[in-house]
Formats: sequence, structure tokens, C-alpha cells
Amino acid sequence: MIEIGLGILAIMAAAGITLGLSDGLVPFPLGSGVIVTLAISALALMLRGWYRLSLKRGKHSRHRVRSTGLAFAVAGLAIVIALTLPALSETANLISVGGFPIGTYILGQGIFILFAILLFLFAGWQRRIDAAGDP
Amino acid sequence: MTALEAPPLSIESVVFLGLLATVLVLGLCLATRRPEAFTIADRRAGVAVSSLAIAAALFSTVPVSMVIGAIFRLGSDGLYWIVGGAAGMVLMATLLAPGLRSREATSPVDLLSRRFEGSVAPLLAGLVVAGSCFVFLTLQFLAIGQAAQSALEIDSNLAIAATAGVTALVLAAGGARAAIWTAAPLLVMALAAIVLPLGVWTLAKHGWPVGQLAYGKALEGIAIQEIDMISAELADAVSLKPHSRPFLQVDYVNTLALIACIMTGTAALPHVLSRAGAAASVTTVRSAMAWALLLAAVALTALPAYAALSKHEIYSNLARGLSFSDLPKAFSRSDVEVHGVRLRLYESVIGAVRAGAADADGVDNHLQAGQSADASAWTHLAPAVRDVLLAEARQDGGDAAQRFEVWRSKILPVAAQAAGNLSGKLTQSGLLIAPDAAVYVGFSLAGLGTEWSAVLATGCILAALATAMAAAWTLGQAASPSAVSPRGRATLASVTVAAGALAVYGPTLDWMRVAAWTFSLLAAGLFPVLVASIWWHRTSAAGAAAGIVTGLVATLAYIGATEFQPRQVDRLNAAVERLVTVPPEDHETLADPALTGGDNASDSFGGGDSDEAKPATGDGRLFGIDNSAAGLFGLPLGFLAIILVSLVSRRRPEVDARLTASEAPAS
Repeated sequence: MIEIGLGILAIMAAAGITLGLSDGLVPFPLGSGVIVTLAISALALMLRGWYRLSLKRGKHSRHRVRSTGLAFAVAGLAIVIALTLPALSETANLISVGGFPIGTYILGQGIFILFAILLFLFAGWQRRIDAAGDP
Repeated sequence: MTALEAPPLSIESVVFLGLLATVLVLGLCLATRRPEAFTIADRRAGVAVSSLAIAAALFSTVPVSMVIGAIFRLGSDGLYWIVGGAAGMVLMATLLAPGLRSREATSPVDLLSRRFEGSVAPLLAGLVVAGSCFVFLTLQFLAIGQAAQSALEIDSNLAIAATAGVTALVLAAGGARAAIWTAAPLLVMALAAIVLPLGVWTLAKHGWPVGQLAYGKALEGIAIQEIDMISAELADAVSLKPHSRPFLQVDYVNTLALIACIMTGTAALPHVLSRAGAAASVTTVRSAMAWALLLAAVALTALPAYAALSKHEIYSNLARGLSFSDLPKAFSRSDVEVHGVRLRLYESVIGAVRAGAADADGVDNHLQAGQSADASAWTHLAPAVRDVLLAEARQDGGDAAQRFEVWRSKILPVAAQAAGNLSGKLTQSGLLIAPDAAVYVGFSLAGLGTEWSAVLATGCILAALATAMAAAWTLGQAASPSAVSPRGRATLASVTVAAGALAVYGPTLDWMRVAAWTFSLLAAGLFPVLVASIWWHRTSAAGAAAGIVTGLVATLAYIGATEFQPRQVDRLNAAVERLVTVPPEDHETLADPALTGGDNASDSFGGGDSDEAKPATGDGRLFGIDNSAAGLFGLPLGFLAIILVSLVSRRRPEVDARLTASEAPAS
């Protein structure tokens, strides 16, 4: 699957930057943000590849693969949001709406709205997967 | 004094006792002998009741006043509790709760018992569950005592004893049925009592009744006041940390580490998972988790608002250069200290003088003998402050208003001078407010009247009571699997009372840190094994046990080492950094000064990167990680142990077939 290949490439790129192999090749410094973005993208790509591969092979039931994929995708998204938002909050605080520095607002309140929406969507998507069952 | 002369009960006491009586009556009405009802409430709870019950169990796991206190003290850095908790709910709703319910399990321990029959893994998980629930239960009782004392003027020990008694009776009579069905009304009342005073506050101060949306003005005000205080030398630019600016009190790495631990710890909260196990179906669990997060959000989004509004009120007073003789009454509370002297300390000295203490040593002996909380404060006072306290105590006329006047206009100026504050004004560094009580101080300063702080305190008590029911029930289940038997019911009541006793007689601890440790232990000891046992059929009983033990040992070892052997941790840190740091000669080849902007480039731009090459920090922490996030070490090790041991264990196809059959599409 192409996603797995791209994921491996992204992992290799992240490792290369970490080891300093990109020094001199790129005219600007690549910080930890690029490494984290590459690592997350690699993980997402490889999971997507594994998901499609599992569906194709048919070793496990379609319902199980789709349910597992959905649960881990939503959980992974929540983890990424929770771990990246604090890093962005200082920059986001430069924008202020109604007296709220946006970064502080998202950490204190916005995150609940975001995650509640995510959980409602998850429940709806899983209902659809359950309704489709195992053809 | 005879019984006939006893003072009448205050209105606050009547309301508090009335609420407890209502909960008791409601709980006793739900008493049952049927095992199905007692252990899983007949699994009749639909989306509405399940979401209320789940939100009630989750909401006050870290008590409301503690979260407000953390945000008040740390500003933006205190928000990691909220971010971690919210993300943890998503992990629980997606990875754990539906899986637990689909396997017909009633709790995490039950899930492992069904999955690994006859193994040691459920026993180990039971220990983790019992330990964590005991801590959370004690926290609830402490929060109830603190709220009762701070805002309702009810003795904290009395409040704890009464609440523990009611919780024990209700649970022993009705088990899960009573815990779940009383949680719903308790949560509704708690939400109203927490949100309503906020609306009143923001309506009075900012002209908008939706507090969660109106406190932006308070944040703006705080930012201006911070600058004003520094300009007027009423605050120190180094010690004053701007409220909205992140990573000033908890650095970036520790913030992420704490969020990771709180997130995974929240996902594995046993008392919340047990509520999911009692829901009517798997689809009910999924919907109920989403609604529970939304319900909890209604009140949890109010907490940063309370912290900001309280700070705004306090800073408003500081920024206008308040002289000591103009101090408002709110600063005379027992949880407020001005230059090390509380009004309560002055009253304790008066008590000592009346009891015959003639000098400073006499007062010291009197306070030590009475195990007074002021004994430590007295020993740390400068001699000049002690002298003025003694002199004024000897002249005390017994009038409360006069005592307050003497405290602020005669004693505090001397205490300020002794502390080096010669401005004659109250400064930010001279004012110390117990974070848990900051919101009540804010209410007093805002001039909203004591009734609204009493309403908020009642909301905190109700929320804590609802969570205490869930924690006590899960603790009782872990302590005695046959909960419905008389012995099981007695165990349930006993552990609840024991937690109450710990809250009353236990040592004074930094409970926020204890809560963080508990989340770390759950993250490392329970989260990996629950995820693996639900999602990875290959997980073996030995792997599960190894995962729990490894996660727990790594986390406890880090907490123990950083607390008791920080030098050993420093040595380990230095050794690890020597291994991972690129030697200086290699640095020269990798970091070309022409590309990085010269030798000083790292000083100007890359403070974070340059830290990596530093020798051991000498702060007794591995990689600079605080032990509040000790689970960060145990979590990956727990997963690793499960995977490795399971892979070398014998494969059991019959288990795989059984688990696959249980994962059929939910009806």
C-alpha cells in the first residue's frame, strides 16, 4: 500500500532531521516542530495503510476493522490536539476576541466543545458501521 | 452552657444538613437486595441517566475548588488539568468504555477477571483501582470539608463526618442502583449551583450573564493590572507571572508530560468506567459519553472563569495601592495571610495570653500544646512582629470589629516593615491566599454577598458528593467482589468511613500533587492493560500482569527516587545525557557556524535546543520531568512489557475466537 511506503519515508525524513543529516541541504533550520509533524504524519499514513490492507485481506471481519480504525483514529486525533494545542497557545494569544486571548480560550473552553463534537461524530459514525454490519 | 442555651443552627447548616438528609432518604428509598440491582443497577440506565451518572463520577474527580485554585495560582499553566481531562474522556469513550460494556463487564477489574480467568492480573488491577479510588474518595471529603468551612462556616470535620456517614449508608443500602440514580439529581443541582453564581458575578461586573463567555474582560483587566502593579512597584516583575502567558510556571516539556499523564489517567478512571459498565447497551455508552462530556463542560468551563474573576478582583485592590488601614474585610479570612500574619493568628495569641502566656515562649508553648495550625506561623515571625502581637493581645477588649482594626492598622504595618516592605501599601508578594479559597475571597471583594459564595460552595459539595458515591462504590467493589452480601456491604461502608477518617485525621499533604501521582499510577498501571486486553487478542494473562507491575514499579520508583534520592536521579540523568549528547568534536562538524549564524546563534534563537547539550540540571529530575508526571516513564514501559511477554506466551486460539464472537455489531 502506498500509504505505508509514504509513512516509512516520512519516518526516515524525521530521523534524518533529528540526526542532523539535513544540515546544509536545506537553507533554513528545521526545528522540532517539523520532526513532530513528520512523525505524526508517518503514524497516520501507516495506520491508514494498515487499515486498508486489513480490509483487503479479509482476515478479520469488516466490522471489526472499521470499528478499530475509527476508535483509534478518533483517539489519535484527540491525543494530537491535546499535545499540540498548548504549543500553539502562545502564538494564538496574539489574537484577542472579546477580551479573550484565543490560545487561553481554546485551552480553557474551546477544547471541550471540540472534543464533545468529536465524540458525537464518533457515536454517529460507529452507529453507521454497526448498521452496515458484516456484508 | 446547658443544652437549652445552645446557639441556633445557622441557615447554612440547615441547608447543608437538609441536602444530606434528602440524599440519605433518596438513597434509602433505592435500597435493594437483588444482586442485579445492587451491582449494575439492572442495566436500565438509558442515555440521559447514564450521561448524568458518568458526568457526576467524572466532574469532581479533582475537586472543583482545587482546579480553580490551580488555575488561579498557575494561570494558563493550570489549564493542563482541563486539557488532559477532556482528551482523556475522548480516549475513554473510544478505546475503553464501549469495549468494557460489550464484554458485559461491570468494572475494569471485572473486565480483566473475565478476560484472564484465574490469573494474578485482576488482583493487581484491583490494587490499583482500590488505591486510586481511596485517594479520590479522600479528596472529595477534603473538598467537602474545605467548602463547608470556607463559605458555609460549618466545622470541616463535622461536614466530612456527616457526608462520609451518609455516603456509607446510601451505598450499603442501595449499591450501584443508589449511587447511579442519586448521582443524576445531585449533578443537576451541582451544575446549577456552580454556574448560577458565575452568571450573577459577571452580570454585576461586566453586564453579561453568561459567565463562561464574559470573563474575557477580566482577562484583559488582569493584563492591565499586572503592568500597573509592576509600574507602581507593588509587584515584582520577576515573581509576578502574567496570567495568560503559558509555560512560565510549568515549562513546555512538563506541560506536555502532565497532559499525557492526566489524559491517559482520566481514560482509565475506574469509577467512571464502572458507570459505563452499568449502561443499558454499548450504543448507549457511546452516546452517553458524548453527552457526559458536554454536561461536565457546562461547569468545567466555568472554573477558569472563576479563577480569572477572583484574580481580577484581588489585583484590582492591589493595583490601586491599598494602604493597610484600608484593607477590606475579605483579607481577614483565615485562608489569607498578609506578610505572614493572619487575623486568626492574632486571635490565637489573644487566646494564649488569656490562658496565661506571658511572653513569646509562653505563646509558643500554648500553640504547640493545642496543636494549633498557627504554631508554625508564630515560630517564623520576626521578633518585632511577635512583640506587637503580644502587646496588642494584652490590650484586647474582646470586640471582633476592634480586633480587625488593630490587626490591619497596627500589626500589619510592623509585619510589612519586618518583611522589607516600607511602602506602607499592600504588595502582591506580601499577600498569600490559599488557592482553594481564592474564589471565596474574590466573591467577598466583588461585594456580591456571602449568599452567592454559599451557593457555589453548596455546588462544590454536591459535585464532590456525587463523585464520592462513584469512587466509594468502585472502591468497595474492588475490596469485596461479593458486594451484595452483608459482609460486602459492611466492607463498602467501612472503606468509605476510613477515607473520611483519613480526611479528618490524616497528615497535611499537597493533595494536588497526590492527585497528579494517582493519575500517573492509573496511566501507567491500568491504561496499558485495559487497552491491550480490549483491542489486542494476543494479550496473555502473563503479559497483562507484567504490564501492570512494570508500569507501577517504574512510576513508583521515579516518584520515590525524586522525592527521597534526588542525587541518585541527578547521577542517572548525567549518565543518560552523556550517552545521548553528541560529543563536542562531533558538534563542530555538524553545526557549521556559517550556517547557524555564528557562535552566539543558540543564545539568540535556540534556547530550547541549547538546553539539550547542557550537563545534568541538578534538579533531581530525569530529563527535567517533574514527578507529578511520573507516569510518562511507566506508560510506555507498561505497553512494552505487555507486548513482549504476550508475544513469548503460548497463543490461545480459543480465547481469540471467544473475543471475536463478542465483538459482533452492537444492537
